[in-house]
Amino acid sequence: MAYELFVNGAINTTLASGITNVATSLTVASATGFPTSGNFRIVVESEIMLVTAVSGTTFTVTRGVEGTNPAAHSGGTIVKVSLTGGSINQWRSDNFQTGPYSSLPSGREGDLYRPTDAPYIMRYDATNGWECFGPVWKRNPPKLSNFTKTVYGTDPGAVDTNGHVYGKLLGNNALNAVCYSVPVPGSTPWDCTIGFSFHAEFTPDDLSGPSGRELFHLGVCEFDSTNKVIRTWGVGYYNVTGQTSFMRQTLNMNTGVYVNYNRYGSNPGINRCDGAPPLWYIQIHRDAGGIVRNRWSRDGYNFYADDSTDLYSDSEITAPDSLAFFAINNHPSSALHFKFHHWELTS
Amino acid sequence: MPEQFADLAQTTLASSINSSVTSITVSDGSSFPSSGTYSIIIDSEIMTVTARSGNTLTVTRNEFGGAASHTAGATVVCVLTARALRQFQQDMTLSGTLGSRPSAAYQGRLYLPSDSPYIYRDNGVSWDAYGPARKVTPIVTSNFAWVNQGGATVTSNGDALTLVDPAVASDHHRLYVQSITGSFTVTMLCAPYIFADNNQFGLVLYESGSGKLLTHGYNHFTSATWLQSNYWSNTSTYVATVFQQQLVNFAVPPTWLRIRVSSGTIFVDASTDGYQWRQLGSVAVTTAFTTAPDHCGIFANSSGTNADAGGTVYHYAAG
Repeated sequence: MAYELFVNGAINTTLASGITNVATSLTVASATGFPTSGNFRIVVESEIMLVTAVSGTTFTVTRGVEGTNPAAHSGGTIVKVSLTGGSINQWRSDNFQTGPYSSLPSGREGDLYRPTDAPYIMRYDATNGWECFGPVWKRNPPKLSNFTKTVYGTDPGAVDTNGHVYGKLLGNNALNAVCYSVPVPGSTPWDCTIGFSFHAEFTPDDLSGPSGRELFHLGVCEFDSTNKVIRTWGVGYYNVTGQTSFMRQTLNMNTGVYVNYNRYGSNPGINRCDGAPPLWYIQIHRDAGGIVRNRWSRDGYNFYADDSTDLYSDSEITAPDSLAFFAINNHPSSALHFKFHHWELTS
Repeated sequence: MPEQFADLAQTTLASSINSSVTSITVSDGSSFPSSGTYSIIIDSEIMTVTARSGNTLTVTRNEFGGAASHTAGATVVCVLTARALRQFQQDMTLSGTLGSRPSAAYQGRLYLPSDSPYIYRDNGVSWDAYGPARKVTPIVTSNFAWVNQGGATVTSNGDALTLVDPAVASDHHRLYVQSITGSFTVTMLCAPYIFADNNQFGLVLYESGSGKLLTHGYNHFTSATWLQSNYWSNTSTYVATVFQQQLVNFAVPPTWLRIRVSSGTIFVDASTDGYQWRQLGSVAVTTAFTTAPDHCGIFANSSGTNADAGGTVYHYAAG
């Protein structure tokens, strides 16, 4: 996109011929002193126009910008360049653009760019071109007010704080679970992503709690809000192996009963729970054919499909009408602190 | 100091000037900025003021409008120009070494250092640091080639490169490497994707004549993640370990990895920010290789049928 251009001096000319209120090109008597390409602003009577292209004395214009009214103008009317509120706003926008990494602007010394698909903030250097600073992970903090809360057991009392959602699920010798849901998109495909970090108060190798259960589990889930059933996908600590693993399960939030329970893989063990990375991104991807795949990422941009086949049979959960982020704590005595940093639902 | 602006700064020329002098005297310079650069207009010539001492202005002539002579008494006015806007923008987003960062004084100004793990914002009084984030160089793979590729793939997403080696039994390093000789250093910031036992990912040195290699990176075994450097007589035959340490208690990736080849020795290093490095181990070049490595790059080794192995590379530099 063309940058907003500025010129010095009281550059002005006149319309070579009259224009209607809808004409998108105009011819001036002389283009001397005007920029030889877009974009810049001209004022004709009380109308501001954005010039997007110049060919000799012919300007291609967007009419009636910055809230001014497009009007017919007679031949001989004065045309002048002007510093306007819109041009200053555009200048600010030009200086710090955003978009895909593949659409980097040409750049001028000092320009900043925030790519939508790469973990960097970028700055243009006149000698070296665009330079990357980072990595900065993707962050789109959820706001609790946008979600419906469903609790089994003790409410974690989650709050919006410091750009993320923080909650503390008690470990009180009972199942405590919470999910925060929004309606599922009306059409497929869609991707639902949560970015989170956590701290479990217990130590590694803790095999307490109900045998063969997760001591904690958190991530993203599909939610049947009528029957209060969640089908999860996330990270959990398994009290048979004493390891933190990727896992999925189906839990009834009315009764606290597991409908189904499937750890992922035979011996995944992403790491010991105290060695888990500071930030996880977990995604449910549903393609146009209704196939569900689980993905995960460490930066929010580069996702890694953990399985190439449909992981679920829909019999585990009927009519998942919502998507949610969730946390579960099954520990007899230790609390789970969770922080949800990122929520993204695209369809 | 950023480009300066002044409201209603106006005076007159104290004495006539020709079209080339770069020092001019005005009758009263007190309303003009005393330092920094700004633009003035005299008749139809715009000049750039680069310094002021009392009533004497040091100027660069003919910023716009054409150099001309001007007579005593001509009006001198501070003006906003296209150059000033452009300069002001540059002045508010600076880059360079941390040592050359200017003093804080202008709220909203950014400084992106080339040698410090922060992005700084000028709060008007001091610089606030945000991070960690640092200048990184996404990997450029135009001169990279595969050795023992098998089913491995690389994909680029926003210039971050992800290498994946599908799950296959036993050691079979997939190398994605470039030519390099002599003394050199190769550095990488990456996030490894290794979850099943024996999954490996990291940096590699390779000697094409002998087929020998040295790896330095992440290895998952005994259900834990280790930082480990090994050398191998070929892509499937282990020889010895240079260094290994289990990562526990939040000492987790992404971290920085580095291999240095210098004076006949190979050093393997790691860092949490890319600036403060710790040497983990070393081995003589001729212990790990027949003569010397002639390639460096990245590798993955799923080394088992439980899970794919790989990682995403955010920064890679060799030289």
